[in-house]
Amino acid sequence: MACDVANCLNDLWHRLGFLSQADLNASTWLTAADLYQFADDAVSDLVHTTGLFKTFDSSVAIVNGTGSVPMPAGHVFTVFAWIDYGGGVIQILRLTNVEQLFALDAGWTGQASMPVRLSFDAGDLGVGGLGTATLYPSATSAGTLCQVIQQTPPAVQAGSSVLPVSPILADYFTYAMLAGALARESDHAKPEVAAHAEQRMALYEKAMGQYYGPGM
Amino acid sequence: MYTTASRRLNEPAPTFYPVSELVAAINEGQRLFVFLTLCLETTLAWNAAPQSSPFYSLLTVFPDLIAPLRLMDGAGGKIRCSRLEDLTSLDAAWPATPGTPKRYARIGADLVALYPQPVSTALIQVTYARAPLALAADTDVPEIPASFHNELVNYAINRVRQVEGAAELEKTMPLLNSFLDAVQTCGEYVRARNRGNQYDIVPFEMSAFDRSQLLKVRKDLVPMRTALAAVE
Repeated sequence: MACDVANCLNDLWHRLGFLSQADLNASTWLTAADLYQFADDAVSDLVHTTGLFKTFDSSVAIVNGTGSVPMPAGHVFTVFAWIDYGGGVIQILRLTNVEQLFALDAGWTGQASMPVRLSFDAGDLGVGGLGTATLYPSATSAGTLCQVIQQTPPAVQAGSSVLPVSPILADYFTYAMLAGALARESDHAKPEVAAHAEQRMALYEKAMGQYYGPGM
Repeated sequence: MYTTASRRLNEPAPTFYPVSELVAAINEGQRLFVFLTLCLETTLAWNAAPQSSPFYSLLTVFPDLIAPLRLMDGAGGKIRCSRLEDLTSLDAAWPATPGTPKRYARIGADLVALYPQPVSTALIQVTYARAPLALAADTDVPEIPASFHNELVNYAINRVRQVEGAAELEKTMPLLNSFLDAVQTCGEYVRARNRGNQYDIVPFEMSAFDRSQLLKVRKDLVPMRTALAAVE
């Protein structure tokens, strides 16, 4: 059972000043969609500040002539990568920046062989540039790019609220919802409590960083 | 415990602070205590089936997992924790090397890589820090050490005061500080014990965390100023 953010909604109604969960559901100044959005915003921050959302991906195919490969949707950064050619034949790729590629080989852009390095800043900027990685040398055989990546999970919303993390982290998202709701300008605003909720989130983030690794 | 909390909130019986809210607060306190101290652990068998990649998701096997502490093979030998760089230095083709797992790498929330990759189902004993069971019935007893149970009441009082905020919340900050002191004490014990057991992860360093901002209610924010002005 991973962490279901929907369970956090049941833990909020009293601290938000409602009489019951039904009273919160009937509210006009705050809706469940708003609360899910606050949790989704917290996930977006966590993806960059902690190493919580790492996953294994093997969805990228390599074909003969491939020099640039698209990254999976939601890709933030790659921790480890290799090409699987099948039959137990693999090649681990060294993550390399473009400066090092030029230092290694001034004509690196024209090389073609078995890729041994992967670069994330050698491609073009802009739409289609970011979100791609460059193989050096360009591939001459078909294979599968296997990666361990930090990946943004699908947006947190009603009906799609399960996150691939320990269920003990649900309280972090509860405080994210609390901070977001109470910081909004309204007759129900409590900015000092929102600030306190953010400090509690900071405590969780410190512990998550120690247990699950750093972010970018 | 919720009765004790209610009385300390000057309510002979839970009224403004309902039972459900007090129980939720106590449960939240227990979860935070366990998360920061890793004081609950369990050892269960994991049958790691062969698959195309060496990476496994432990949350699908152990739903209450916080973090794995130690892996041991079926013969009782320790499976050593390594980094991905260590495995690459050891074997340039480690993601595809078959054999009996001797090392593992831990990545992210629950991803674990086994090296060598099992060619048949491998029995692995996994010791992991787990989440506590939720307290529901009046007779349920918190799973954290008994000497810290009163700190759950302190935590609950601080939490339920969040609905009022301002000066009422500020008055309960020493209770939150007392709870965090207990977290530090228990965490230090668990850390020493984990090191003695040669576990691969230790609890959060509470002593190195700056609590000053967490225990302060900002007086520069509007409702706090309004509340103070009313008092003056």
